[in-house]
Amino acid sequence: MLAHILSEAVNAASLMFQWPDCLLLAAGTLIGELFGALPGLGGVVALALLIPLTYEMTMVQAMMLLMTAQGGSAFGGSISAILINIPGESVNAATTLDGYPLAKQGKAATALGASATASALGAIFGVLVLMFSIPLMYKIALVFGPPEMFALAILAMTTIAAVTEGSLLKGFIAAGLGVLISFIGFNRVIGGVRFTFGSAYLWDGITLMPVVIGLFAIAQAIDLGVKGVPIAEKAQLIRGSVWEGIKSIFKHKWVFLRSSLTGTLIGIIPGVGGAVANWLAYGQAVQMSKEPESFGKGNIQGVIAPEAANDAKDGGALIPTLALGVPGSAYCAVLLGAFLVHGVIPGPTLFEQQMNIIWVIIFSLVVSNILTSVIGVVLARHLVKVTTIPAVFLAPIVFILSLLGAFSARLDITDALVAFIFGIIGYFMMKYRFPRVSLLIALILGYMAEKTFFQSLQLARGSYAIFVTRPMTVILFVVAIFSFLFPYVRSYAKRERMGA
Amino acid sequence: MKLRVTQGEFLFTLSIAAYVIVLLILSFGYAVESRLFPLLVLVPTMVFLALRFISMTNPRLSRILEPEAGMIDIEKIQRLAQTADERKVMANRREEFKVILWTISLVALVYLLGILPAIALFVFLFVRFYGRKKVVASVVYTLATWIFVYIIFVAVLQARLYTGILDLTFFD
Repeated sequence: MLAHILSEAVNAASLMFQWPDCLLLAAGTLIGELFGALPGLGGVVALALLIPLTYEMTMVQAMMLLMTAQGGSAFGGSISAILINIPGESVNAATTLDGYPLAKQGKAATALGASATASALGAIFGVLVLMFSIPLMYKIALVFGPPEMFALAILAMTTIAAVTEGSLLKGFIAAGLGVLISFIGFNRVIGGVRFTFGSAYLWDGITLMPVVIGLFAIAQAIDLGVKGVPIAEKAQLIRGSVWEGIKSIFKHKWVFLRSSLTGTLIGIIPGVGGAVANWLAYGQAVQMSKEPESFGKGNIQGVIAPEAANDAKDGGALIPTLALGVPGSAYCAVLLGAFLVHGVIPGPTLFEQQMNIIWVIIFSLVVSNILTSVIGVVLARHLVKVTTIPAVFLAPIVFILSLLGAFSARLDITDALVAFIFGIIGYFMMKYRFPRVSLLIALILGYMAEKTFFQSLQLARGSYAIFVTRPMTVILFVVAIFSFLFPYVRSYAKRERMGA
Repeated sequence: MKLRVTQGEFLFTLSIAAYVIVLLILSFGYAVESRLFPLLVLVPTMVFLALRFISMTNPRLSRILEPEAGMIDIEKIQRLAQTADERKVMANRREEFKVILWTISLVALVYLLGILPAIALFVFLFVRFYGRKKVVASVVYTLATWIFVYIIFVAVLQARLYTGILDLTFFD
């Protein structure tokens, strides 16, 4: 097994670093960094818009471009957070708290150096956990039969609804809607057509790409058109010492390690994105500091913690995605869309037959995170200028690329129409705080849940007892019930405390 | 009945509920195996929607029915920081309506004229009239966008772009 893993690593590296394919690493990183720096766009939008460009590429080339774009976006967002007090994405929001005060104190370069190093090393931490868990992931993927996969899908759906920020009920409604959309069309498991309203187009069901492009790219473009780009504070001059920032990571190594671990673990939980990882790590840093009052006023630990967690979560999120096809975060859900396009099936087959793809993903993340940090620090003063591009120029290009992206997958203009319908739905979900990621992940898991439900019944010759007699299934169901009840119990305890 | 949320949010939730009810009615027309799983999802979703409606109209019950999800008290920390979203001014309904109308017009233009002509027309009109930019700036931006799309999708990826219903009806 180990020999197979290592030989595939060498194979992946030889495929990636050949001319001119290696240019994709730089291109993806730059695109990701630009999207990350642009407030209102970000990594998921970049991925959704890049997938159509990969249709003619090999799987290796496609993964190189997509993973480097994802890797590049996170640090891109921290540049605008530090220099102009506007996070590129919600995942960089916590960085503004101490990053911008540092920049105002004339230490922008120090903050950028710390952010770049924390991002790069945090990502490497997450990727190392992913690498070392490959043998374990393979074993888990083999052990999980249809009943376990069904229980896992239920657990994942409960978790995404319960742990995404905002109202619990809205999370469950969004997840329910996602599963219901997955039922549309001809059912290949049990036969029969459902919920097509007589439309021949809907016989194939709602495909993933128009939904992803609509929910994330088009909804974001509508939002940009309506609200415009936020008015930035005056960009701070890049002063101070980058080296000082780099050294600060080693000075606060425990903050870095704790935050990276938090980010990786958060990444593994389906649906919990970088926003939670980055606030949680920031909160931990404040709570465990001897000088909590210095946070928010320019404490370098307030930059290290969220940035390390934010980048470490990418490696963690890939663990359930690659092993079981359960997306750990929104970007992983989009990645699963790319897998579908290129014929890659997550799970044991991926480990046995396409292990090199896993390595391409790992290497691309590492390379892009190192590259993005170097590029980011060197070009920060120029990159920050992209935030001044008026929304009226950004919105139409996102509309156009979304339209082309949705159309190109199957050369069907109705896909573009579906993407725009989901764009409008996504915009209102955003506006009224219904979690879009819950809908998307539930859409992916809905089909899996139904398929494995009936496969389990076939295995047990129609007996429902199969769901309560296998230990792993029982554990997963218990955790699902716990994650459903947890917010209610916590809220009850909080009310009791306040009443006492 | 006093709403705890905006009218827009109430209507949005109502439209989700309407869709779910339609699916519920439709599912009873399917064979037992076909409707089993949809019903397992539809019934709880209906319950959650009903609870949401109660929560939207009754502030006291809302605290019990609808605890904040999430692993951390993000709102508490966010009060310290101003996120990008909070900095944005509250969306003006008229602006919202206009942008959505623009997106619908793009789809209509594509359907009628095809992708490449629609892109040129849409980008120019959007930048010129919605963005109120000068004619020269609008033309330059339109040309740049069109050339970018042409190079990437037509020249490099050689995608056969949709040519529009008019072309397919009269010239094909």
